[in-house]
Amino acid sequence: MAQKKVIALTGNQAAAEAMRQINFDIAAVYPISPQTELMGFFAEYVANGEVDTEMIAVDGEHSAMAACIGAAAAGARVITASAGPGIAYMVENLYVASGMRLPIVLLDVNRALSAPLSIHCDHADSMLTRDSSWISLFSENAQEAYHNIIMATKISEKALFPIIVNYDGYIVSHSIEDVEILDDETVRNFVGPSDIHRIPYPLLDIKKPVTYGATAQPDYYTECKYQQHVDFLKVYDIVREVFDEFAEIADVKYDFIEEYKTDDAEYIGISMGSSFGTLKDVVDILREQGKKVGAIKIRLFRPFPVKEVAEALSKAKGVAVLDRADSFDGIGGPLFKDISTAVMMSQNRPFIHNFIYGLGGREVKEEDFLKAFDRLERLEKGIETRDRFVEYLQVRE
Amino acid sequence: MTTAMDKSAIEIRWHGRGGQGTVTAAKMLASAAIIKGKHGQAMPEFGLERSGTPVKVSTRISDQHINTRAPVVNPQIVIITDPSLMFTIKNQIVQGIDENTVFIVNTNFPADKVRKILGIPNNELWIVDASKIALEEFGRNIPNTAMLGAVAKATGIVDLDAVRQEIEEAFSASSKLRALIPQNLKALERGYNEVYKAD
Amino acid sequence: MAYGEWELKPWHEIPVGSIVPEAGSSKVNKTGSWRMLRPVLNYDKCTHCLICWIFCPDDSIPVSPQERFETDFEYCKGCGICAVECPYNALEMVPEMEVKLKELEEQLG
Repeated sequence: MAQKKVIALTGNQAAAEAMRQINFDIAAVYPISPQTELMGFFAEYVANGEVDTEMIAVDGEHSAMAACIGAAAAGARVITASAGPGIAYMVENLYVASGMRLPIVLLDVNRALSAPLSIHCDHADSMLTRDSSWISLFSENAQEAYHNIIMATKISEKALFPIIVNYDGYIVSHSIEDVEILDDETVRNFVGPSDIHRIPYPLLDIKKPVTYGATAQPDYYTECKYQQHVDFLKVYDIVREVFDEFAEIADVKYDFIEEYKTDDAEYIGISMGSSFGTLKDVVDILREQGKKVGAIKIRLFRPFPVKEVAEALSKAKGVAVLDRADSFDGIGGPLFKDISTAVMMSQNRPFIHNFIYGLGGREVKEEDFLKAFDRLERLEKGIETRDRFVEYLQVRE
Repeated sequence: MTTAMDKSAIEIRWHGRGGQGTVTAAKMLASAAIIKGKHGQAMPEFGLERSGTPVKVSTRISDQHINTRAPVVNPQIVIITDPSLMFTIKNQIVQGIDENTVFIVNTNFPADKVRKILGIPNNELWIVDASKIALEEFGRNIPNTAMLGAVAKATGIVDLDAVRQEIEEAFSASSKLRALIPQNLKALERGYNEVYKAD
Repeated sequence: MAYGEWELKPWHEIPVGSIVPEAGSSKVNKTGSWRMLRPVLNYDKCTHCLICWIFCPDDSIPVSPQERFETDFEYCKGCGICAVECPYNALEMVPEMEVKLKELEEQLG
């Protein structure tokens, strides 16, 4: 079992600590709030010689991802971080990275997209990566961010797909909490040494020259994508494998979703990221009042855990999907559509309603989630009606 | 609100300006509690990205794991590290308080004036001129270490040793900061000794 | 107005596209609210040379070609450049809280 100690860290500090322990080969860096601080902490480790990482300062996030692609193709273990509009700027290369099946770790310190300009937290930036064939994990707090980064390195290399680790900007990234960290040796043994032959075709193996980034004509493109599609479905098992291996060293059992008091719950709230902590407290408050409520956290966002969600919702009467981003498509937020798909596939069809909350860093208070559960119950019982599946939880009328 | 389950949680709200070390002080307080084996949380809320912007930090200290990420709505303790905020954002400072909320204020104003400005005739009030201490000890108006001393004395939620340890760790990051450790420890000491409870 | 104390409008009263349709809108941001030191002018020494007005980075000193009027304390951030540049040492930087305390005492009697 690993040596552990509990120290006070912010989300960015915890992430930098994980990066230091894993000792990436290359880190591509471009600043953007709220992630600048993270790379700043890591840069101190580089400057002090505590890691062997080569930091490449680039001219923009698009270039940051391009640098990662080049380095990963050469067989290096790479990482970069971004947020909000930075993620938007690198989206073109996200598809390139996953199409080339390169293991890359991207830290997304969730931030809202402009316009209007906001540096504060919401999940809109992560929603740009939904269809990009990147594996995606969400962290509730600094502890999970720390663990997720360590597991992500291994998951990405086993699956040969790039991976995003999300944690909330400012709410997690700049907030102190008690984090239990593992010792350096345990982490290094867990991720294993960096080996250029963990990818099938290292670019710099001059004995076996290869081409990355060729075009595919209409007669080939579909087959390339189908191979990607089939391999992406294997990610479920790989993630579960790594979660189990991690449980052996860190004594914490992770799974695709986390269920809180859902066994006999009539009404269930679903959220991702830091708001789940507040949601758990709200469930406790309502349980004290005798209400049968529960909560589900989505940890593995892509590929989406359809079966697990359907199973968890199979006995519920009503479900409130809490989205920290809006799709503006007349249907609802992005998480709502994923949950709806899961519910479509299940035997039981609970009443689902979508609440958009927390946009642009709007404070999420316990009373907001209490209101959501109350509204859900009234809708489900027919006391109130709705003309849309989606509503905003915190807007001034 | 604290949930019914978590009565052991202490909820604190700090009000300061960016560049004065308010966020650092709040984080050090949470860290000092964590060093002693408790669960701590410090969540800063920044406004616009400029020095001098009002900053609010929600801090929680508890024996149990802290789930919530909601801002502190009903603080048991309100700490004001910049006196000008009493004039500019008074409504935010007194939001959610009740008659038991303890106030700790960095100011050289007499207590009756502070009570008048904030509208708190009966709340427990502690006053320390942390800015003066900071200016005298190391020539800059960064009152955070003096405030921490005052908070340790006024509330007893962390002991001075834990905070000393915290300052030494936090300031050992660079040689420039390390040189300031003795003055900051002195400021901490003075904050502890010079804070007084107003009647 | 100070940060965070502005009016909170409902969603339908916001201009389309989150545009700000007023010109000179930055004027509502009263930058004087974060002043630590205040320039106090000794009118006996002041010759109205307007050098302080030339150097003020905030345009907080209202003037006419012949006269320097009282500093506009709604915007003066207390940087002290006027006091340094005044060739007659007519400006003294005084702690803002002292002035506020005096004002309070007069107000409350």
